[in-house]
Amino acid sequence: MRRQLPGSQKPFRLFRDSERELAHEQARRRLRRPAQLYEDMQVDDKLVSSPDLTGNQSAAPAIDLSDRTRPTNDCCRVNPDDLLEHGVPHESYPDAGFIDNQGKEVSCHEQGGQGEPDWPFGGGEAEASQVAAQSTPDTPSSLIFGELATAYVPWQMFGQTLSLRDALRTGTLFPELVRTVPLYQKPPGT
Amino acid sequence: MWVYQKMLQYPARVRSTNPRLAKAVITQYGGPDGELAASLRYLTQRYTMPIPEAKAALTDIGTEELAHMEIVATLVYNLIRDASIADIKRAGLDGYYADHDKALYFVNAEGVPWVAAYIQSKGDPITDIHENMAAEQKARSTYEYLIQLSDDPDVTDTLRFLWQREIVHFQRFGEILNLLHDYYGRERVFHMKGWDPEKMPPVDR
Amino acid sequence: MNAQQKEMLLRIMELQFAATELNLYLDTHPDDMRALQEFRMRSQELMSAKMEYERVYGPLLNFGLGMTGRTWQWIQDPWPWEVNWRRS
Repeated sequence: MRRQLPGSQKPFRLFRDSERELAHEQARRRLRRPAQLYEDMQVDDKLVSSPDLTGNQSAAPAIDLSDRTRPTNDCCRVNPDDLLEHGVPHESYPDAGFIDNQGKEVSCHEQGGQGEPDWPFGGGEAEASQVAAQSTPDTPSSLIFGELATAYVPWQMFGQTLSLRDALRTGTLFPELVRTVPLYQKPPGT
Repeated sequence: MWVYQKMLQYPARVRSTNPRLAKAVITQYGGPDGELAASLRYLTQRYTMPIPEAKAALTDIGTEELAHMEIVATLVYNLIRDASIADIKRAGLDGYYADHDKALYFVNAEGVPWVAAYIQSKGDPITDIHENMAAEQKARSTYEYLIQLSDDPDVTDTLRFLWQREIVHFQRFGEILNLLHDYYGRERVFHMKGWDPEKMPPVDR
Repeated sequence: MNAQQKEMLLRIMELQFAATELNLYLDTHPDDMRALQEFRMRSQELMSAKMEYERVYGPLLNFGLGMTGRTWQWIQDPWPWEVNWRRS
C-alpha cells in the first residue's frame, strides 16, 4: 500500500519513478528485506520534497511543530495501528517505552515516576482525538506528527554518464547530480 | 596504506599572483570546513562502521578529500608564490608571513590554526554519517562564498569543481545513511542504556 | 612539462576521475552490473594510459607501483603543484 501525505503535492524527484522502483527492487533483493519496508521509504521520499525549484511545484506540506493539537503523549512515537499492518500484534509491543535496568518495561509516561509530561501549551484528549480523526488508514497520525525523524536521500540509479572530459570539467560523471552554483546578486552600488 | 600519485585530481590553474584571494582560499586547506578536516573526519570514523559499504565509502571519500587538499594547496601556493612583501602587506597576509613565510600551513581565513575539535567521531554510525552530510553542506557553502570572493576566473573554475564534489559526496553519504537505516531495521525508537533490542519486537518486519 | 606530456596526463586525469566516480557509486551500489562493467572498462583504459605515460615520463606512483626505468625518475620535476595548466 502506498500511503499519501494529506494534501500531498507533487514532490521534487531526482529520478524517474521507474528508476526508483528499480533501485528499491535492487536494494530489496540484496538485503532480503520485506517489501513493506520500502513502501515506508516511499513515504519518506515525500517528506524530503524540495520546495519550489522549477516554479511550478509547491513545497510539501510542512509539519507544524507548534501545532497545539500535538498529543501530550507524543513521546510514544509508534502508532500501534502501524504495527498491526506489519503483523505485530498490539499486546506484543510495549507502548514504545523503555526497558529499565531491572528488565521491567516502563512506559515513557511513567519514566521518572512523574506521570504525564507537562506539555506547556495545553492540548488534551479532545484535541488529540481531533487529530486522530484526520488520520485515516492512508495517513497515520504518526506521519502527521513527523514520526519518521530520519533523513532520506533518494537513491541514485545508474543511467547516462557524461563524456570523460565533461565529467572532469563538471566535477561529476553523473548528469543527474550536476548542479549550478547559485549566483548571488551583489547589492546595487557595489 | 596509502600511495601517492604524482598528479592532481583536477588541473588547477591560477591566473595571477593574488595573496588577497589566497588568504580566503586557505580556509579550505586548514579551516573548520576544509579538506583536511573532511579527510581526517572520514578516515577516522571508518573503523567503527558496521557495514562494508560504509567502510568503503569513508575510505574512498576520505582519500579523495586528501586529493582535494592538494588542489587547494596548489591554488594557495601559486597565488602567493610570486607576491612581493608589499603585496603581502596590502593583502593583510603579513601576520601569516611572520609565522610561515609563504609556506603552507593549516589555518582558516583569519589565521586560526586547525584543531581536531573541528571534527567529530562519535561511534554511533548514524550520528557520524549525519555529521558527514552536514560537513559536505558546510564545505559546499564555503566554496560558494569563495566563488563570490574570487576575482580570478581560473581559481573560480577549480573552486566550482570542488563545489560539485561536495554534492556528489553528500549523495553517497545519504545512500550510506539509507543502508544504515536498513541495517538497523529502522527499529530505533529509542536507544537508551539498558535498552534490549531482543525484548523489543521489530517495528518493520 | 611540454604540451604532449600535459595532454597525456590530462587524459589520465579524466580516466582517473571517471574511475573514482564509479568507485564511489559502486560503494553504495555494489550490485549494479552496468556500473561495474563501466568501472572495469575505465580501469583498464586507465592502466594502459598510465603505462604508456610512465614509459616516457617516469613513474606516476611511488613505492614500487609505478614503472621504473634505468634511472631514478621519481624525483624529477615538475611536481603536481608546479605544473602550469594554463594554455597561454
